[in-house]
Amino acid sequence: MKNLHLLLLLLLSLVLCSCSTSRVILLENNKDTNAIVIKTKSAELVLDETNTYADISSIAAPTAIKKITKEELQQSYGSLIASAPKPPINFLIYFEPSTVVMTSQSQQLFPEVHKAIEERLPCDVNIIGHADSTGSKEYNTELSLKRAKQIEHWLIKQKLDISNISVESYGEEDPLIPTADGVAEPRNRRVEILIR
Amino acid sequence: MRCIPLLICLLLFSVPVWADDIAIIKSLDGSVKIKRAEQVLIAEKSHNLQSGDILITGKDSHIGVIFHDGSVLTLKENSFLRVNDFEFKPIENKFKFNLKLKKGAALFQSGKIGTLSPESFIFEIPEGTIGIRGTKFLVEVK
Repeated sequence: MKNLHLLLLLLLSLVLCSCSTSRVILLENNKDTNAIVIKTKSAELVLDETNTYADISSIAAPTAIKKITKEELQQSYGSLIASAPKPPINFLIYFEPSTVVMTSQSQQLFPEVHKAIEERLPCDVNIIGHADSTGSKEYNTELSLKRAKQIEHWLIKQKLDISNISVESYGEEDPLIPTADGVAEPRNRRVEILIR
Repeated sequence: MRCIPLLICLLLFSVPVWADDIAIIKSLDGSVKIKRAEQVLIAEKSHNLQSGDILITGKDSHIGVIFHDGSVLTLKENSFLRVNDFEFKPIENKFKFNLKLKKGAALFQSGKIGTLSPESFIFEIPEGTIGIRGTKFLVEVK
């Protein structure tokens, strides 16, 4: 009988109040800029300090911003936070001018790339080739595709169980360091490996 | 008669036959369903999400996905979230990201859209919207 009462009460409260509340918490992100803007019909609220939160009600204006301790966070949301997938990681492999030859420094990165993929399986990998602005656009699109294919070739040889590998070529269109046309810039001769 | 091939082309390309993959399912616990148009699919690791998918987590369940821009979304048990829209085409400067949490709790860490085009991101909750500036946050709808 007790249970039945509880159920009735719950139903009653649903009928009486169709309102809802949401709690929004800003967490540590290891980035310089970390903020959110919450907008409701009646107000706007900015959270820009980590481990602060606001309770947003559908009927009242947002309440004050409060702090949440690490212990409280752990207790209420620890399992959710722990179940989050490992964030993606990005590697940059650099090349010698007008070639598909990797710099010796970049060659040393491969064990790390391998490990990062292993830790993230199942995962997708994007390989994006780039070139600096020496030579024609067409030449650079082709060159950066060759660079990307070279990395793809290595990846396939690793026999990791990657779900999807995509290869793209941006040529000279997306420089890391913007330059005038025809400028040799080592940091633009690169392949980006994005592991998701 | 000359226009017939053109008509066929128009017909072929005006219907989106192939929906784009927008995210990969990275982690999973318990029972998670994906509602895609009229279909209800059982979520599985390494499978992909599409724009418009609704994620529904059961009791003692969770799902973690990574979008193509590198954003990480994790849903707690008993949650209901719709991926209203997602587009990530940095070379064409096209970005769209709209999520709607109707129930439950979600943890969100923003990726490249958060950096390249934060104004394209909207996270809806029943009471309003959340916008970002390079962010990791958690929402619980009670």
